[in-house]
Amino acid sequence: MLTVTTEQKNKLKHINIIRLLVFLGILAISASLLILMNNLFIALLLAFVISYLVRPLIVLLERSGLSYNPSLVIIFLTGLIILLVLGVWLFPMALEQVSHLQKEWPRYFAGITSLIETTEMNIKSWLNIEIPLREAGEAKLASLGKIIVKDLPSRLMQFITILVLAPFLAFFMLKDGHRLSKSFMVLVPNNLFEMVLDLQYQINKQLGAFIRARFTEALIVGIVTFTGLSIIGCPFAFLLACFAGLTNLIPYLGPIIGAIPAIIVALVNNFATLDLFFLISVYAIAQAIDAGILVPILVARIVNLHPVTVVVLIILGGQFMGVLGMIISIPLANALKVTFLAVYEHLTQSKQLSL
Amino acid sequence: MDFLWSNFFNKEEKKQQEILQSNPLFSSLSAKELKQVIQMVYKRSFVAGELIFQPDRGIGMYIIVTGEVHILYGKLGSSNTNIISRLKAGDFFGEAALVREQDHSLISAQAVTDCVLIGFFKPNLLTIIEKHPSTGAKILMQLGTMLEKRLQKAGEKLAEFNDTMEN
Repeated sequence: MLTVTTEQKNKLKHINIIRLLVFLGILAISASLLILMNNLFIALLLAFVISYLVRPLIVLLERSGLSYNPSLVIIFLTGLIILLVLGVWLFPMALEQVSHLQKEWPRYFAGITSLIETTEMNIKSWLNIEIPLREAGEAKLASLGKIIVKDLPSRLMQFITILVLAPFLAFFMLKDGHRLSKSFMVLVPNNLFEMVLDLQYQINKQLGAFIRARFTEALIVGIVTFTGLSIIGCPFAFLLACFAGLTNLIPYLGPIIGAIPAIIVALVNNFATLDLFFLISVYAIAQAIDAGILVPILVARIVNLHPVTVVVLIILGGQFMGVLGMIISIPLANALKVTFLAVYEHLTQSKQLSL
Repeated sequence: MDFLWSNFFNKEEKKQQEILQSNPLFSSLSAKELKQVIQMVYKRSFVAGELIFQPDRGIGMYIIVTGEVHILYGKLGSSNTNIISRLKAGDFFGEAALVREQDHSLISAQAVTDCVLIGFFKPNLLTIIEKHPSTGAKILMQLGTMLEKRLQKAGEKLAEFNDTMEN
């Protein structure tokens, strides 16, 4: 073995330290920029998801002999056309249901209040204890009402901005991502290079599988719920289905949270018992399809969290970012767990770890 | 300014292309397939004395562009580390790591002079197999041939060794 002189050793150390500092510095700056730009953060998150969803399609086209950039453009144009067609069909429906909800809100407000009142009275007569449900509930309802009636248009605009911005960002992530990551890798010190490259590959693979699996689940649950609710003629079918699909991203609690608004709609509208049964059946069927068909196919690729962890994370997410926080806290935690596992496996070279 | 840059990159790419083309692993690839590989490789520079990979940690092969590299066998720092190979520009090493499941080898590589290497790693090979299966198959075929030759040589040496033992 070649003996290294102290001078050479110092030179080596020097180079590695400078490279490491630049590498970590760029990481830190990008991370803090991301957190500072709150609105952009969500758009970037969505762009990230889109890029993971689109990547396998590009690979499919590449395999048939097309180059990368034409494949990317073809996929994005096709996606744009499909979204436009869907948008023409769905957007008026969503808009109509939103304005319907705004108009009907006072009736639902009264309905929910009276529901709470009956519950309070029932509890009082059965258990003989007084729980001030109504006071607590009314404040919450009023703020929810303010969001629905007043803030909804501006929130919708914000939402549309994100919806337009995200694919745009995703396109450039996919177009220049490889080159960017390659020039980023130049900065990694030699002694860490192979590890970082291996980690990047592992994390990419597992995160991609995770995001695609979760997205497919949410989409199919949403479609099944929408179809079912439309068949039984439940009002706000589209909005309720969107909500059910989104909350399906939350494990364990998600399906229950997703069904609550529909049950409230049914109770306020005094659905017949049979209709209420059908309504609950729609949600049950969606969950059965999810648990019986989708999960066995997709779940092998999903790293799951312990139920207690999930509940704690949902509460934390709700504290920091409201409903949005509740929805993204679990996928985010899952992504972090995948990353952590990949790092741990690489460092210990063992595959037995399971948390 | 712009044409200068593009010229520079073209030259660089051409040089990389030549180096890869002359490597047995990529010798059967067409120009188009070679381009797919060039997008995947990393150019790294090492200073004299620096370790290129340590025992238990290699995940890829390196082709030497300039400089000299020693391949070492044995636990690093212990007295019985042997130089098993001295490599120079055009040579390559670490190709077995491309198909190794878990690394338990005692092989390491050290730069003897300042070196420029082209690295091609297992994740890159896996990506090529996924994106361009026929390119991946060609590379794997060459790698198989390479390993088979080595196995045959090892078998011959073992036979020789057995003969001398019996006599």
